[in-house]
Amino acid sequence: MTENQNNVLVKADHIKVYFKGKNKKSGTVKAVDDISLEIMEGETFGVVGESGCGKSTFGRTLVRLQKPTSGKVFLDGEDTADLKGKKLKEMCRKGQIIFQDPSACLNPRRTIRQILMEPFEIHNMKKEVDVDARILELLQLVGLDEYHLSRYPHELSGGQKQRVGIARALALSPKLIVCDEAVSALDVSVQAQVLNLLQELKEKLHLTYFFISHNLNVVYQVSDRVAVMYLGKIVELAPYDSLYEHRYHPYTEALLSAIPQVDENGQTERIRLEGEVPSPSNPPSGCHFHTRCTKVCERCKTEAPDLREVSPGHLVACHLYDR
Amino acid sequence: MQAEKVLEIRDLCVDFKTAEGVVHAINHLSYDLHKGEKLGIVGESGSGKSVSSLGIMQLIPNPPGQIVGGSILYRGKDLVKATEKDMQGIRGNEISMIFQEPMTSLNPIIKCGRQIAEALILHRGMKKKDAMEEAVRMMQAVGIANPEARANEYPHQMSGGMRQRVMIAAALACQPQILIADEPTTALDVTIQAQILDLIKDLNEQMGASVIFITHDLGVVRQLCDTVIVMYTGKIVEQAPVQELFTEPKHPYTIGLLNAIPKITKDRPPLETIEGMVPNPLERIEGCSFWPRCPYATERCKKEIPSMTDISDTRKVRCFRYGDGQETA
Repeated sequence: MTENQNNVLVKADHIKVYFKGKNKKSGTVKAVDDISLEIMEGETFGVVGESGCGKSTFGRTLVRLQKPTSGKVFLDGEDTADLKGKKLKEMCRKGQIIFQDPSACLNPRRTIRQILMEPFEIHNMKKEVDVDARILELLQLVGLDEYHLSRYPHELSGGQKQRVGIARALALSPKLIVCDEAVSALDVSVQAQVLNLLQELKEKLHLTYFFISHNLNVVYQVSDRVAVMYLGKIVELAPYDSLYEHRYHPYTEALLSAIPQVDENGQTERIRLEGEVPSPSNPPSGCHFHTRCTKVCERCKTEAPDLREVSPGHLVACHLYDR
Repeated sequence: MQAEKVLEIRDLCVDFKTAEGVVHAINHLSYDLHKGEKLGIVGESGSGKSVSSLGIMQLIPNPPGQIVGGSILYRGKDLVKATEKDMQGIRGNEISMIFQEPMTSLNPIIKCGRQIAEALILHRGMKKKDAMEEAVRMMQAVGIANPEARANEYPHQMSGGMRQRVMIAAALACQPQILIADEPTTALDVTIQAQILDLIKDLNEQMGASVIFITHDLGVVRQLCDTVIVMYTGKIVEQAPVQELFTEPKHPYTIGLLNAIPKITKDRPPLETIEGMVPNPLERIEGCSFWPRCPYATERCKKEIPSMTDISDTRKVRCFRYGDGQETA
């Protein structure tokens, strides 16, 4: 999994995405608050966090579905922020996204053939590419039959619809695919099939994934590196094996312990988190997590911790590990 | 150890009439619920787990759904034959239910406190003032901070976790014998889910109400329940005490489900999957409904339907691989 980790595919440089409220009173939501990271080619980069932590907004920013308030995103070496028109369209070919609810992101009035045709129409590629052959190839890749082409989305099961979503994302041979909760709406037996499919495709087509989920188990299963987000910030970032050995941030530890595991050995001792995630429009001072943290100290309330390396490749934002 | 049975379901069958034909959502479902027991019902979408609980409450939308056979005995009374008036006295009073999305099951234009008090006024004949006081006490019991002020708020002013607590408070206000929880934590974040599971566990111990917990998440069942029922295509395929189901699953479907869940282990083996998918409910499968996906399927599985077989005092499984699978009932 670590062979071709030489090229940086995505570089996020101090990304901030702020959403302004209607008036002063409603305040500004800092959905993504100053995140910098690099994603290597061929890597699966996983992000976990609870609702409202900014993980989806961040993923959308990477493929420019969302413009950052400040900061820069480089996709394949190209600054995506100021791209317009033709250039922007070309960039879109490199980064695609798969969404959570497969029923909501497929047009119910179009057949699967029409849905899969659309990327080629938008990019005026019907002349250069043998579209029919390509669509058949895509279907084969995701494990669907030719027979599905004339069906409408409602005639397919959830898992099949998600496969159509994947095929559509693959249509223009992208380099980066953002999977935004791509398996969350599926039943466990189907979820496992789709996860295995994504893994298979990654190896076959040399893809890079940015994998977003609220389910730490799923993220852990597929990712090379995992980032844990809380209120717009990354609190811990680690290679999966390092994360298995050590979880440094109290939030990561609490999040893991809150997940009901099916095997007894996997269940860590329960850490009770009181209360709920504070409103992102008015986050707590200092370390955002201090209001729920079990290991809080005075310093946490005033000073925000930086992301620091505590062991090779393993970064944590917590004052406990300041030396 | 066997406590008294509060609920006995026997051979329950529920059909849904659709334009394409009749769907047998529930096929000869039988189980018992004991006093104080926490029973988990697990299954994937379309397995009939929710319909079975709606059946207990006589809330199956008719048409298109209809109970076509069997009985639900609650304290010697058959709920299938009960009149609507009888059921109104039972719902929310003796048997209560909480649902997945608390926003859609709470009335958005009525204050939370009143929604809890409503059950008390209706079933206990309390005066409005007393009921409101009791509602505030219930809100405190389910862990809502500052309940006096919160009782005067509308559902939209609360977070998802808080709304689910209000639902639980309303469901438990009359101290029911049975609490049916239909995916109550599915829409919540894991840390909030953990809080709600703790709450249900505590209330079960304090009030002694039996709990039927319906979920697709086997992890949640392992944490909360005493007994587990695994459903597939409207039938129970396995029933076992919670620990045994996880250490020693018997039915191929249960084994497949457990293997399909990603686990946090050091070496991360690839996930094992169950081939194929849940069959279309309109399609009728000869023999055991799981055979098209089962790695152990034999010729016999394709022709005969296996029956629930006792493999120990507490465990039952519907598969020819265990016991002789002969019709026992």
